[in-house]
This record gives sequence, structure tokens and C-alpha cells, in this order.
Amino acid sequence: MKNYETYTVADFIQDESFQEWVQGQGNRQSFWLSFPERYPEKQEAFRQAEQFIRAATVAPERISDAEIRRETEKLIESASSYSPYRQLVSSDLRDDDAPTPFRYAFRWGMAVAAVVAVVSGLMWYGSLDKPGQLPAQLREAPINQLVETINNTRHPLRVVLTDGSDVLLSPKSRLRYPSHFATDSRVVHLTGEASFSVTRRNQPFMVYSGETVTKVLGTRFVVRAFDSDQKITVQVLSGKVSVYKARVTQKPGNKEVSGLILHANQAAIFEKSDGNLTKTLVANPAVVSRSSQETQFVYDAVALSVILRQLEKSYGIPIQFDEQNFQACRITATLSNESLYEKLDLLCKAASATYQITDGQIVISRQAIH
Amino acid sequence: MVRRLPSDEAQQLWQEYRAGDIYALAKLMQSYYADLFHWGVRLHADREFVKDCIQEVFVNLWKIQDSISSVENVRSYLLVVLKTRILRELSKTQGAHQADLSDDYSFSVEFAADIRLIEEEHEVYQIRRLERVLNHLPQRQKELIYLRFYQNLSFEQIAEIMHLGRQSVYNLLQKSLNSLRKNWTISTVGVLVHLLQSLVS
Repeated sequence: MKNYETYTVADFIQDESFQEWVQGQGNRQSFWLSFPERYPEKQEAFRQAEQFIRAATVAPERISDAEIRRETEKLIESASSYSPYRQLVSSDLRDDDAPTPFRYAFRWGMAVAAVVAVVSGLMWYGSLDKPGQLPAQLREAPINQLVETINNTRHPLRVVLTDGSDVLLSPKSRLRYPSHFATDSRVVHLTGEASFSVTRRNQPFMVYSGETVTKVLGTRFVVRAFDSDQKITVQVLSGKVSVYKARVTQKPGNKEVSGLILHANQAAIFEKSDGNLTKTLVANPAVVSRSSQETQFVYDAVALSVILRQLEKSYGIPIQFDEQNFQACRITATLSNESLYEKLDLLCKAASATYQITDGQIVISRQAIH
Repeated sequence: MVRRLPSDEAQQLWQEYRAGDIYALAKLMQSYYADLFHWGVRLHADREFVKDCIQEVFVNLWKIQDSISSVENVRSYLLVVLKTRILRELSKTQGAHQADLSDDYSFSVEFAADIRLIEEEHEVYQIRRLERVLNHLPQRQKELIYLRFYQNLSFEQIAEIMHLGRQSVYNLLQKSLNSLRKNWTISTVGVLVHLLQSLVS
């Protein structure tokens, strides 16, 4: 309890509770209203202090909550370009903004891994959660209605975004997203793994995960970005996405990006150690061509080149080989349930050839027979 | 005036930001945006310019998150940093040298009493009169009043933000009080004098 008996005008003015009351705020309305009655000898000081606070008011600037929200989103957007992991790039940059000079370093650390797998475009799951998959932690963040969902369960957790996109969040994973997407972009932030079914809109859908940004216009894919993972890999099962390293100046509207465009069954690997982004293939390519879905790969003395072209079409993966080299090579085989790599193993064995995966393509070669 | 973020909550967010949580920094930005913006346009009345400066301040804070130390009061720290940024940007564009932060900048504030709820005519008259006195104070005194009552800062924080030593603020106060006493003899000035003195006591 304050000693109001000795209060001066200045004491009243500097009493925060009193200030709040004059400004129509605070929770001690009745206390201050009845104050002059209880302390009649303080009436004059009380009234003068009230007058002063009223006179010293400054009209608020017209800045809307929406404007503030936009600015906050902008900060998160540009901050996403800086990895929270520490790797010194330049130490001679100085911040002269702070009252005392700080040395600082941009952090281009690369410790977050991401796997993106696009399965098909324009489809998403029904929006109903399966029972018993409630999130362990789901809270509305107060800033710009950013919503954070952390899946502490052992099951995938479904999250439906306002644009109709559907996210299946893997266990131990966290997704942050605005409760309403901005008009020019759709940006979410992922730590861990999630499968996205993105509805097609004109605005790109972007998944920020550490140092990597995955951008799609509407498709389904999986992002894996656990902190403990050693590299970033991006896998595409079908459709098309672009993957690039996050940059400071990267903005949703910016068309100029340095990165990879991945097609079906292709993957990108981002090496943390050297920062290189290279193209390869997914671990287990799936048949993407609908017409060849039921095709039995039955061959009776069929030219190897024909078989390879058929595989190329079925899996949507370019296969490079020297036609002339394999001209005389005919294969008799029945291929069905084997994986693409198993098929390639069998074919190469039969043709005394080897294959390797280079730049997201399959290259088949053998010593030329002269 | 918007209800402000309690300072212990701000401290907590500051620690989280230092630990690498961008959302803590974003929340600080959102919570203090109105205050910072209000302060910014007093220093330079260009909305977009001020918004850019606030954005730069926070982006920069994120960049230096490794090396930034804890601060005593997050909000007054942000006000100082924003002021420095704005004045530096201004000196860049105006090609002028930023000789002295403590003096060489303009600060425009218009005190405007809210008398909607006051019924008594005499009371309104008194408040209007006081408002006029306040608006006739030199820039630096107005800044001082503004920081104390709009931004609710302590004397130490004000001294830091105004780049003044304790003694300089005190001298500034005495100077203005003398001129007030000379030019205004009404009773309300007594309140003001009392108040300004209490700032340095």
C-alpha cells in the first residue's frame, strides 16, 4: 500500500496506476474515483495531476494492426534468410546501430535438412482429423496471428491451412504459419517433417526450412527438416518444384532464383559442409506415367534401347546411353515388382553395362566393343 | 495509449530472441511497434521512412543475435536504437554531418488534451491553458515531457535516449523552468515546474 498521505502532484503524475486511470485504462477505476473523498486534503494535487496528464497527451499515430502485422511478417520473412546456426563468414562487419559496437557474423550455417517429395498436384486429403491424433501442443501465437503447431504425438498430425492446403505433420515436428495468408505469398516455416498437399493458387507456396526454400505452385510434397539431419535432400515423386538456397534479398515476388528445378523422381541434396546443391534421384522412384501403371515389363528379345526408353517414360526420369553402343543388345526378361534400381541392375548385368546417377539422370555405359 | 507489454515478459522474449527464436523478436516488434512508430514520426514525419527504419532495426537485431547482450529495458533500448538509425539515415540523405546527436535534430510533438470526458468549463480552460504552455516549450523539453508521459520512461532512460548526461538534463530543465517562470504566471505552471523538478530529484 502506497502512502497517499504524502503524495504530491508529481507523485500522482508518476503513479502508473493513476496515469492509467486518467487515460481510461487500468483496473482501479473505483479506487481513483473515490480517492478525493477519502483523501480530501489531497484533492487539489489530485486534480492538478489529472489535468496535467490530460494536457500532456499526444494523439496516437494512425498505424493499423494490419500494417503492424505486415511489418512483422516482413521481418520473419527476411530473418528466415539467416540461419539460426552459427558459422562465421565475415567478422569485420560492424553494427553501428547499437549503442555499443558489436561484432557480428552473418550466419549461413546449414544444419537443417529437408526432404521434399512431390507426389501429385492439385490433390489434398479430406480435412477431417482422425480421432486420437490431437496435437500435444497447439497454440495461437499472439503475433500477427501466427499459428504454431507442434506434433508431440507418435502419429502424423493433420493441419489444414486457410488456403485449403493440407499438411500432414510428422511426429516431433513443428509448423508455423499465418492464420491467414498474405495476398501475395503463402509462406510457412517447418522444423521436422511434413507432407504438403498444396492447393493451386496464383501465389507461390513456400516452405522455409533453415537454409532451404521450397517453392511450389500447387502440388503434394514432403519436407523433412530435422535439426539433427546432416544434409538437405529434396525429393520429388511427381510434379515439379524448385529448390533454392535462401538469400537475404529473396522475396516471394522475386522471379530470379538460383536453384534447381526438380521433376518427378528427382531429388536435390544440399551438403551442409560445402553449401552445394546437387541434383540426384529419389531413393525409390515410383512409376509416374498413368498409362504404364499396369504395364508388365515383359520382354522377348527386345532391344535394350527400347526397354530403357519405356522405363524412362514410366518413371519420368531421363536415361542417357549411347544408342549405337547398345544396338545389338537384346534382352529377354520379365520385370514387374522390382524397383527401378533392381530393374536397372538386372538389365545392366544382362548387357554387361553399368549405370550411374548423374545430375538427376540415369547414365548407362559400358566399354565399347570394337 | 495501448496497454504495454510487461517488462518482465519483454525480458523473457529478449532472452528467447538471443537464443535464436525469431518469433520472440517478432513478438517484441509487434508489441512495441506502435510506440516505436510514434517515436519515429516525431523525429521525421515520413511514415514509410520510419517503417523502413524500424524494419532495418529489427532485421539488424536478428543479424547480431550472436553478439547482442542482455539489456536492462528492452523498450527504451529499442527507442535508442531506432533514434540512432533514423538520425543516421537522415544525415545520409540530407548530406549533412551528424555532428551532435544531443542537439542537432528536430523533434516535433503536439500535445493535445483529450477533453471529451470533461464537463466543467473551468477545467477545460485550465487544461487547454496547460496544453498551450507545454506546446510552447522548446523542442528538447517537449521531447522530455513526451518521453516521460507518452513513452512512460524513467529519468535515466530519458537521459540515455536524449544522449545527455544527468547533469545536462538537469541544466536543460533549469533553463526551461526559468523561462517558464518569466513568461507564465498562472497556477498551472506551478504544476509543470514541480513535475520537471521531480524528474531530476
